[in-house]
Amino acid sequence: MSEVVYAKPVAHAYNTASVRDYFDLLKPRVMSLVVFTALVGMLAAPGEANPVLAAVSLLAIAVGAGASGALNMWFDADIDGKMARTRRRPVPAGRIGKSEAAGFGGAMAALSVLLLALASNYLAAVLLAATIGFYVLVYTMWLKRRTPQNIVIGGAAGAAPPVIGWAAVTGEVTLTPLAFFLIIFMWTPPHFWALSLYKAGDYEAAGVPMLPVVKGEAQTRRHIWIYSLLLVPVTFAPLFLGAAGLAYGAAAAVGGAIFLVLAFRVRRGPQTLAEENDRSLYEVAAANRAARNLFAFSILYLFMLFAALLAEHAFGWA
Amino acid sequence: MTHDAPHDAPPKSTAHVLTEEERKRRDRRNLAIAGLIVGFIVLVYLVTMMRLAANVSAGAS
Repeated sequence: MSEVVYAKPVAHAYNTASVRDYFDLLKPRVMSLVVFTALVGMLAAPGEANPVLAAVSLLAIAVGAGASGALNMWFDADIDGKMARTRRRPVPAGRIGKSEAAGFGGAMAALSVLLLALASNYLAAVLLAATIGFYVLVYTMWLKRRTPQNIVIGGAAGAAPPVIGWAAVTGEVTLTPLAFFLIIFMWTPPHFWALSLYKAGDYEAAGVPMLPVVKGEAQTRRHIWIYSLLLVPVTFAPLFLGAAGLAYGAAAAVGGAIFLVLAFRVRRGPQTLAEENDRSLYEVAAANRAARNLFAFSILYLFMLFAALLAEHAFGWA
Repeated sequence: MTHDAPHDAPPKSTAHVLTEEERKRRDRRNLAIAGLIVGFIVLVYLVTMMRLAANVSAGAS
């Protein structure tokens, strides 16, 4: 005697995502910084590039960066859902499934590398592939949940776009793009640690071992100060390499001085910060203003430096 | 032999009936995918032609 048993009906998880959700999956704000710094790498590079091929190369680099963001959101959906800052992202909010995000990111990554290889050269394509791999495998999957040095080492991925842009035009990597790399690499820790100082509870709730969570506020302030002292001299490297002119020098000097003052205020600031988990990145309690100011200015500072480079190379001032 | 469900009465469909908003979103997603695929094909074609032309003229000179 046999009995036919029908499968239990399951709730059909229908895809309710909009096109905008997929665009958000690419982390458009990060992508815009990548486009900006990669463009500077391309403009600063010696030699002439076909403008159409250069534009396609830039698009490929942007899509590659977006693919990294999508793959990061796929893997980090669990911790993104625990943090106020990230819980509205498409995957933790349930608008896009994890497997869809993974498929979308993987496909975009492959297409971006192929397109860059076609539009520029294999070195640039290999560098883009390595950067995506580093961000996803080394930073997202390995370091982020294991060590407070996560953003120090992982910062290499965010620093790579000007090198890729340079390589796309010249087919090689020299000291100048490495100086651009070093500027972003040294800028990343004080930038993120300033934010994590007043969002520490958020990271703690998600189990992400950011420096303030693991080592405390005092150690984080000390680290911010040390990295700031290292960063400012590094920003002058393009001047010594002949890749920057007066406008960049002025931006580096004035911006660096302000950055050091703000970093020093964080170093000397109130020893116990307020919890800010449910507030925006910029509206903070009085005790957190020094850290907030450094975080906000760090964005402007990096923008100033690369905008000066962009202007100098676009208009031939360098 | 015992069959709990008779042959002339198939199990109730569990298919999701799309709301108007979901249908619009699906259509927009499909259009975006179509646009991206066409854009990618055009880009690859253009880039290939430009690279070929450049290499041919470099070989000729």
